[in-house]
Amino acid sequence: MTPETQTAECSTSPDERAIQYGFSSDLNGILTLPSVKVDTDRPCLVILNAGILHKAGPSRLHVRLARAAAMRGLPAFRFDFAGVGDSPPRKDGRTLSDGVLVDIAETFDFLESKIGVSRFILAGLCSGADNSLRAARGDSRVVGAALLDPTVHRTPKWYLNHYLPRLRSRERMNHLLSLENVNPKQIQDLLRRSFKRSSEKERPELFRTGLSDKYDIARHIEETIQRGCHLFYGFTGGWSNYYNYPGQLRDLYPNLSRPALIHLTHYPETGHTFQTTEDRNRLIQDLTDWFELVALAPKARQS
Amino acid sequence: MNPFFMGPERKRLYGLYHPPVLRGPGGKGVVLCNPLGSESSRAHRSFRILSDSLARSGWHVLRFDYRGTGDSAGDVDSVTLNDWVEDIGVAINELRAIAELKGVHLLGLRLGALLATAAGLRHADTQGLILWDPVDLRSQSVLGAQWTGQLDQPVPMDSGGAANVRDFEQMLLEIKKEPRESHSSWPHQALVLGSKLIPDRFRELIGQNLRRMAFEETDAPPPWLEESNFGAGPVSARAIQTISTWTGLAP
Repeated sequence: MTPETQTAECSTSPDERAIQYGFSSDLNGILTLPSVKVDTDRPCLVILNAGILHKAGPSRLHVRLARAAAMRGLPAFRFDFAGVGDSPPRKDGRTLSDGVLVDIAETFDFLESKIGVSRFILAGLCSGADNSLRAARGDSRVVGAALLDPTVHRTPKWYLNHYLPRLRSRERMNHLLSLENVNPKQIQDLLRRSFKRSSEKERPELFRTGLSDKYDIARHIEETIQRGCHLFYGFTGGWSNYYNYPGQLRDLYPNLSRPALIHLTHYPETGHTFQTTEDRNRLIQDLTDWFELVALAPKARQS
Repeated sequence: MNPFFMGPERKRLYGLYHPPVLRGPGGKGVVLCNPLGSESSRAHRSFRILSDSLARSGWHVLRFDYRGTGDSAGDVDSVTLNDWVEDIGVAINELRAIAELKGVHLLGLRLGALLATAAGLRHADTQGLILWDPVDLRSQSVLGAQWTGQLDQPVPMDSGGAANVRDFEQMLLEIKKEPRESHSSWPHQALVLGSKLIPDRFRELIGQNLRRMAFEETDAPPPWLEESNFGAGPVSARAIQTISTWTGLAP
């Protein structure tokens, strides 16, 4: 292929295409098509970047998820936000937080014109989950959003789950209460670790999606489900510093208007990035089953 | 930056071509050879910035993913090291066709440096090698003790994919025995950039036919190690500058 004949799209076996598109910024993505003709009544899966990892996802999670969705008859698209992975930085002066939503909207516009779909399911891990919820709230084309380890807040029960086992340990209590066991070096180490942890809380700009306030998140969820959009929440054991029991989300937000639209799954034995094959397979099975439910649900698009 | 797929059906490789900013007659090209597994994810940003830097210096640059990795077709559990060396050959041919070049340079990071070495010895159109933090051949395995397997056997899924060092040395030796037109077709220059002394064995394997060879030791933070808990390595401006300077002098 010479530069002159280079097009923005080239197909590959069996059904993946490299796409370059975008109006306000050049974006690069991979479209994975089902082996049968695309049913434009069914939604298209769009997978968002997890932090600054490129569009293949951690351990190629996004590649595998896109292929599994296509096997179930759903087209899937995974792309890099401007400035992430293979997409060059944006030049339109928008903030990162705004730019992400523009990139998602332009991706939907492109896919509408390219393959004729008009409904979308978003999926994302970590900051990708937060960005999925932000987009789902504001864009009525989103009929489902799969949120893996999104920003979440602790509940009183979280603290009980976290600290009670420590308090129940006689050995640990004796150790804590016995002054003769106090070791200055241990205290020094503890302080150093605490200091390190606090400095690690500093997150690069790409991780700051602008969605951190508990009540703001509640508003996002409520407005999203009010218009009939389905939400899949998946929390891993790798997120146990924030989420440590299956029903924590329901305890956190007990007054949502349509809780039946929220599918909640807890993966306590799984790491944050689904590193093992078994963990990825289980997640992909759960998600593709849920995609089917969303695809079959009555259209709930509202302006 | 132009994305596309290349190679035969069912072995399609995802590539990104960075055309030179300043085009001149002739031109020079370089194929970038990724490390593997999480090292590849972490180094992705550095490779993109390096590609842009080389393109600004007038180079045709091709980045790509080996089969079963990144955005390319297939799964890693069905590929071998030899497959990945073959993939580099596909990328060499593609870049030569795109840019109408007689030969190209290969730039490999970590295990990609060893794969580039193997491909460079096999492909007469390899003009030079740039080997960035090559995996230490003195170590017991190519990417640590958990990486096991055989050269022509499928790479174990959870290992990230590699063979042990004896297999790799054997592969290089076998490639060197393959019939070729003349030794002058071998890569005739190399830059080895790393934070450790380069093992003698490695020098012996690749260095004996080189007309120009440079070793640059650097203490720059390695792009394939996680900078913090964010899945990306640091972008080493110093290493990129060293590579740009060396390639600027390349014939």
